[in-house]
Amino acid sequence: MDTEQKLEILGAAAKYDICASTAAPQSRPADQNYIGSHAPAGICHSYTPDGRCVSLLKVLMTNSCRNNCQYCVNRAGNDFERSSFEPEELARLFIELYRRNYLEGIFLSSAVQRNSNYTMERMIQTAEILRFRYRYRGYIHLKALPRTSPDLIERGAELADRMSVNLESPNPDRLKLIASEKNFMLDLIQPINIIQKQVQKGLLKAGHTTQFVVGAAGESDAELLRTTNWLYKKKSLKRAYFSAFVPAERTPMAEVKPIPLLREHRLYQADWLMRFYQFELPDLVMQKDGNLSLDIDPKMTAALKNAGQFPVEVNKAPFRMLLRIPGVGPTAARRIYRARKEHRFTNVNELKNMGVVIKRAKPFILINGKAQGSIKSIMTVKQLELFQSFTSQLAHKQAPLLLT
Amino acid sequence: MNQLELFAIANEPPKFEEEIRGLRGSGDPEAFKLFKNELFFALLNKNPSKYRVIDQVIEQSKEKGLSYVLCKVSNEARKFHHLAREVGAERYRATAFMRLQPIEQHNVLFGEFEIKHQTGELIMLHFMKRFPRYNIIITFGHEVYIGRNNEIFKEKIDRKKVVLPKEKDEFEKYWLAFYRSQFIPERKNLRYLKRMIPKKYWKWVTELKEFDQEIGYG
Repeated sequence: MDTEQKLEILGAAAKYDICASTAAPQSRPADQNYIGSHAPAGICHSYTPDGRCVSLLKVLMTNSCRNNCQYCVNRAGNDFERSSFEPEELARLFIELYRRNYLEGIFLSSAVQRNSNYTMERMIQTAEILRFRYRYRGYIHLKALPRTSPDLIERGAELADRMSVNLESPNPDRLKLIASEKNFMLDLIQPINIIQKQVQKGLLKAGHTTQFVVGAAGESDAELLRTTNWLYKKKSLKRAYFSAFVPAERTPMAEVKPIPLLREHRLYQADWLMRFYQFELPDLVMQKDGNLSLDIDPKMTAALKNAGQFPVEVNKAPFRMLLRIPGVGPTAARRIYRARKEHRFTNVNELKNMGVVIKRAKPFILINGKAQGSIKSIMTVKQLELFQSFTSQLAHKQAPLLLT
Repeated sequence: MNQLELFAIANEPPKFEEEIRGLRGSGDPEAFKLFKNELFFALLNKNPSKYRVIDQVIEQSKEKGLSYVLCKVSNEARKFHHLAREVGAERYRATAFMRLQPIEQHNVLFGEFEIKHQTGELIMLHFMKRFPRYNIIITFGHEVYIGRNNEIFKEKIDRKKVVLPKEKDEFEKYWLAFYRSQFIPERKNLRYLKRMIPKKYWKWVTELKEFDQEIGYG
């Protein structure tokens, strides 16, 4: 099989791994013979027709797999063409594409051929060829396969900028439903523990990440966010990725309905609230079925539920409250907080200049004691109904203020 | 690169350097550094209104403090930030979407791109840092930049006289195969693609050609 065919097969097999970040600090010493560098905020060299960034050479080392995960197209039980890259071949291919400025880094992942350690060894060999033979100093993301031995993870951490273990499901019970051969604690959390130790040692400057297949095992958003929150707090996770389940052909789940992309989007919004908006897990409002609302974004839902706390005076509100105002992001909140040390805001135009989305923020703010808008003007009927159901439970006097 | 080098890139007289020295006391050192950075980027913008905007924000900084400008409270501060941002965006997009062609016998990586602002040197510095063992040659319209041994040379060129190797690069074929493999049809969203790669950069990103008709660029 030639390289072009391998790229088609092994690229397609890796496309559901959605981490595309290449942001990392420069961590390797420079000399005149190296090749490669990091861009602190990452660079996207292209975008797919689905709008996803293409910055990493994301291919599997092999799609031959001994596991039989229900949702995965590469499962052992499937009868289709298998292929593999040799470490040498993949390293050269990457370096040539990198020299042409097509890519920003490499994402080394694989199905489990023979056993995890054998496959991981080949992935590490590829990284070693890049680092030592080609003197490549740029970005490497290395996937740790389930059940990988600690010494291989330690070796990988010396070479990579980021490592990741895909949990796929939020807990052992859910995992059993879609990947019965994997043990949640021993095969997935144990490698995360070893990776966490490497991060604490100062290696893996871009941290470690994980990915969930959303909805494949029938789990709720609450379960996913609970595990994500635990990983952020206890395992120093840098970031969780969510991939809405899409049924793959020739799998036992081929006939299962796909999960709406909006659900994935809401999970990312909730995740961002926890990472950048100082939200705690209990601050997120879940529906009775344990999922986030698809009709209203999580920040607006939280604001509506806590309508009693609004409107807030932008000239005085604590930073934490600024972050809770719909339409105010972390950058705008920082600007407001900083600028008001030397200036008193007098109109919405000033806030607009600073990046506040006025249409959303208006009902939730006061400027010098003056209300700026009514909530009715920004909401759909469905959103308004939800808001009224929240406010009917509130005894707080301020809630009706938003409606006037 | 230090600030003086940035001034040199902007080809500006030291007028602004002197003016902003007067601001030093009015803000904290961190704010001053941020302001200087934004100023340098704004100076690289080709928009002729930049001087008026810069004068206005310097006045506002003297009167109301640097934070007032850095936090974009006024319309002028927003415009100032926008001038700097346009330059940053152009540099970013050149480093993202420009493709390089290795010319092995001369140890050269060659690229071409179109720029509106004075970002040539910034783009060269990016590639020189990334590929220090290569000579970097990039043409921006009628100017060629040559980066070698940590120095950048700039010349006017006659585009008709530039002759480049014509052989088809096999790695372009591999890149296209990889690019196509990454598409998830269930997620197709050309509107977003169009937003991420604006029309003026489309021609450099050759893998997008097959979507020209569909997106309305054909």
